[in-house]
Order: sequence, then structure tokens, then C-alpha cells
Amino acid sequence: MFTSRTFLRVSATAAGGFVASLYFDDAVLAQQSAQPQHLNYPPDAFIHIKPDGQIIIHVNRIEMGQGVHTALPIVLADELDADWSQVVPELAPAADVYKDPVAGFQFVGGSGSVAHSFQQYRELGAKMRAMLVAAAAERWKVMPAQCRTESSIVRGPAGQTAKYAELAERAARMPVPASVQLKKASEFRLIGTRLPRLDSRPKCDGSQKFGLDLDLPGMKVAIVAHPPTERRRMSAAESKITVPGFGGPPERKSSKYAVTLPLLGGPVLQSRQARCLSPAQRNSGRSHNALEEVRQAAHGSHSWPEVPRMKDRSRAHRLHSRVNECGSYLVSFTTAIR
Amino acid sequence: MIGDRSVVTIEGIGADPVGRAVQQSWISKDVVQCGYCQSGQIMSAVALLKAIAKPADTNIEQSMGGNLCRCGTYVRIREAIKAAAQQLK
Repeated sequence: MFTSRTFLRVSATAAGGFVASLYFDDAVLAQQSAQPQHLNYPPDAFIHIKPDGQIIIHVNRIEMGQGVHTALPIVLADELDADWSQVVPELAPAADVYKDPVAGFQFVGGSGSVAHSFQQYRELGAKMRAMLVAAAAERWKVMPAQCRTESSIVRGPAGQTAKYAELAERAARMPVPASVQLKKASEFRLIGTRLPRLDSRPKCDGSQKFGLDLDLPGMKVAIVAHPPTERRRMSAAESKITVPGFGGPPERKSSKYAVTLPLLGGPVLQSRQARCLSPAQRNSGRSHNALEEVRQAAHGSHSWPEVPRMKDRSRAHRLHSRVNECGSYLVSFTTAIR
Repeated sequence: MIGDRSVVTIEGIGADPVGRAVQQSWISKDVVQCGYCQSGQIMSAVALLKAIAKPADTNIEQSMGGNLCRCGTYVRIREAIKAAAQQLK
């Protein structure tokens, strides 16, 4: 059964007015049906049209430089006829509705973001637009077909105009259309054009938050100390190493990634005092210094030997060696998990 | 202030005319990708432009050599530095 549920969230904001957001829940129900994957089910995401006209588009994938926090908003905003200058992307939280509509789980990768979510984000924009038009038509007592939309404004047959922001609350109460007419390619205004990235400014003024900035109550910080050669196991002596001020000794089963450690061959140091480190302290290089201390303690002050070149090493190991040299241990984790 | 020295970070560099020009240039040239290194890139670029108003490619390569970018935005970084230098002239 494909039914459509729409959740409405109307909440007062500190600045006054309402935030009306639409939540298309078809995908959740679709996934409860017999065929959970590879369905062309309708879109599911949040659109927030704020009282100041800002349109927040939740993107169901992490932006990591590939441009998806610009690309998918372009797709949605085009069908929505939104004022592009008012569009703000936001990373969607982890939830069923944000699963990749093709793969059936929430992820980013494989160069599939736009290919998988193109239809999804178009339909989402088109449905929201239809509901805004329905709200305006109801207000003006005209037919929806008599209304036009452009740049976050609905225009009526007698020259009436209404901004999306002032229609948002009423629009959120309108039924979600089961199907909706999408634009012809010739009608695209944003899709296919080159637009500046939406994530530039926060990445140029220090306001962007990265994974490293995450701080949760009681959170501990683990540091991977990489071995100087590939496939090396932690020695008995190394397993007893402690770093002053950074807790220890190293634990090999202290994270859910423990399974990767034999492959990485390095100890995970879990700090008893890490909870005392604020993000600012971590960013100040404290954790980097701790890693250096571990290296010094484990391998002495001599320089690390060059990574041996083995004929048979896998791609994963090759990549691991490379990122190892760059100190990017998160990528090593991901690689090892594969 | 740290001791008797003032410290400017990426959060405050926009208050400086050169810093503002570099940030604007970074945005208009679409330099950033993942963004992780860009705070450092911008700070290095500002330092470069304060030392050399019209840097050549070799100046850029030498003075920006301490900042690595895994996304490989180097070509646009060079363009953006030159555009900022042009704008500050």
C-alpha cells in the first residue's frame, strides 16, 4: 500500500512568526511494504520556509567537497520556483526518511547523490510549490491553475501577489498532492546552470562546523597511533605505553572499530582526560601533540622508516599508507572497514 | 592577545582589508570544496599578499607550500590570490 502521510510542524520562532515545514513520509511506509528497496517512492525531506523568506533545504547527504549541498538544493529550488538567493542548505539528521531512495540506506558515496535523488528532490520541490499555490488560490478564491510562481512569489490572475513566506503556514495544511507535474527541461531556470557553491562563506570565515568540532557530554577522544610499517602488530612493550596527561595505556578494543585494528596494526589510545579537552583545546593541536608523543614513545626519536613497497599489497593498503603519511586516520578507518 | 602579541584567526580576518578581499575572492572563485584546509589557506594567502602585493606563481607556490589540500583546489587558490591582488591594487 502506498499511502501518503504528511506531518506538519508549525512552531513559533524567537523572532516571531511561524516555521512551517513539510514532512513527506511516504518512504517510511513504502519501506514497511514487501519490497523495501529499489522503489520509485515519493520524496521525503524537510523544507523550512521561514518568516523572513529564507528557504532551508535539508540535504540527505554529507557535503564533503563534492558539491551536493549546492546540487540538490538547485534541483529542489528549481521545481519550487524559489528565490535562489534565499536558499540555505542544511544537513539532514539521521532518519529513515533521509535514506537514499535507490540504495535504501542513508549514505553518501559512489558518485550517486544527484543521480539517486534527482527525481526525489524535484518532486519534493514541485509538491511544495503546488501546496503554496493551493494556499494562495484559496486565499484569492481562484483556481490554482490561474496562478503562476516565480522567485518565491505566487502571482494571481488579477495581479495579486503573495510571498511564499506568508503562505507557508497555510500551505502546510494543504493536502500533499499524490502526483505532480514536473517542469520540462526547457523550463529549468537553475538546473543546468553554473551557480556558486552555497557552502563557501562558512568555510571562508571559520564558522563551518566539522566532525572534529563535535563535543558531547563525557565524550572521549581516541587517537590512532599508526605503526611505521604496514601490517605490523602492536608489540607487548607498545601495549604498555602511556602518555603523560593523555591517559592510557593503549586499548585495542576500546572502540567499535576494534575489528579494524589488527589490519591497521596500531594501538588506539583512549584518554581518561580527554573529556577535559574542549573542542577549542583539541583544535589548538593538543591531540596532535599527544599523537606525536605517542610516536616518540613508541618509536623513539629516530625518523620512521619508509613504507616498504610490496608487490602484492592491496589498494586498501596503498591508500592506507598514503593517508598514513598525511596523518588522516579517519580515511584509514573507512578504508579498513571496506 | 597571547602575552603581548595580538593573534588574528580566520574568524577575525574579515575585519582586515586584505583578509576581506581574500575571503571575497575565495567565494567568487568557488575555491572551497570540503573546506577543511581553507582557513589555513586563506590565512597564508593574506600573509603572502601583505608581504608581496602582486605575487608571481613562484611566490604563491613557495609561500603557500605549508598548506596541503586533499581536494586539490590549488589551481583555484592561485586564481583567487591573483584576483584578490588585482582587487587590492
